[in-house]
Amino acid sequence: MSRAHLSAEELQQYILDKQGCNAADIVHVDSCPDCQAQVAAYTLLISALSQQPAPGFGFDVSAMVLRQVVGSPVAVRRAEHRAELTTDRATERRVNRRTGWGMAALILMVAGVPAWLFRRSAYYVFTDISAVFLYLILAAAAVFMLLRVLHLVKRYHQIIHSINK
Amino acid sequence: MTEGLVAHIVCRLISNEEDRKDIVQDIYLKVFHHLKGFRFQSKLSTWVAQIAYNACSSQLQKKRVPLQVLPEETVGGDGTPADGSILRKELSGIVQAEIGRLPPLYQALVGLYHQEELSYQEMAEITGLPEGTVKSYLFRARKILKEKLLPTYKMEKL
Repeated sequence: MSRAHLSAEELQQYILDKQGCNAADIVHVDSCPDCQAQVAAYTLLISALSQQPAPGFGFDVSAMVLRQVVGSPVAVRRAEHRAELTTDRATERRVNRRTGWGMAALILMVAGVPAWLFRRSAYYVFTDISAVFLYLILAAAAVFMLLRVLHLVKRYHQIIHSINK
Repeated sequence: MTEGLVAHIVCRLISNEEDRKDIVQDIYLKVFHHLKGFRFQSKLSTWVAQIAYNACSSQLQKKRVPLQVLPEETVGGDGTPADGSILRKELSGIVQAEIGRLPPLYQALVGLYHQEELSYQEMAEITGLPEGTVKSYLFRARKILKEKLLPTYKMEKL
């Protein structure tokens, strides 16, 4: 015999991919009864492994998944509700966008035209303004901002409520 | 199309039937929701199998079940009857029982290689293990099974 017995890995390699084995291993197995017995045992095992029954599920996978994907009546209702909300929101956003552009145009006309006409004296409007008037403007801006924040908070709660419904 | 492959992974890794149901549902819903993200860098079946393996692996981790730890008596133990009455046709049943005693990961790899005929590379992609590790686990699994079957085989020859 040319060498020591083959290891378990080499024996398996011999069965699964004889071409990939080195020549010395092949010569050894051909002349070694012990290794031949091991090869026979592994061959039997590998043949039995490939003939094992394929595992399967004891339930209908397609039906189960389809129920989830297509949806139960409750899920369908939820999806419809979500779709309605999405449509409502899209419409609302469109209206808001139009209103926004309208407001911007109005502001431009109301403030922009006089500002352009009186542009030379505009500087004095801010330098000669009284402290009381300035505070009034700032207070109005603060109240406006506060109202906007409250509106956003209210809207946020409405959205969260409709998502959780 | 992928059900057989997913069954190989889920049935080998998860023993509880109810857990299997939940996991299979979870796997296919993930596939459904992430299908848009599939970039054709591997076969679709490999991608689905990868999702299946990860889902099972997470489940086992949650339950603290080791994927690849060998029971102490696994190697060299003898799960076959000692009276030599085993016939060749019973061999398949014995192999099946012995596969069931292997660690879950070994069971899955044995099934994927010998029944689904996946390559080492595909199995490495699915499990996220290096190809060498996959080979090594498979060698070890077969060695364990052979040790169990050797007495049977010898008796059959007699």
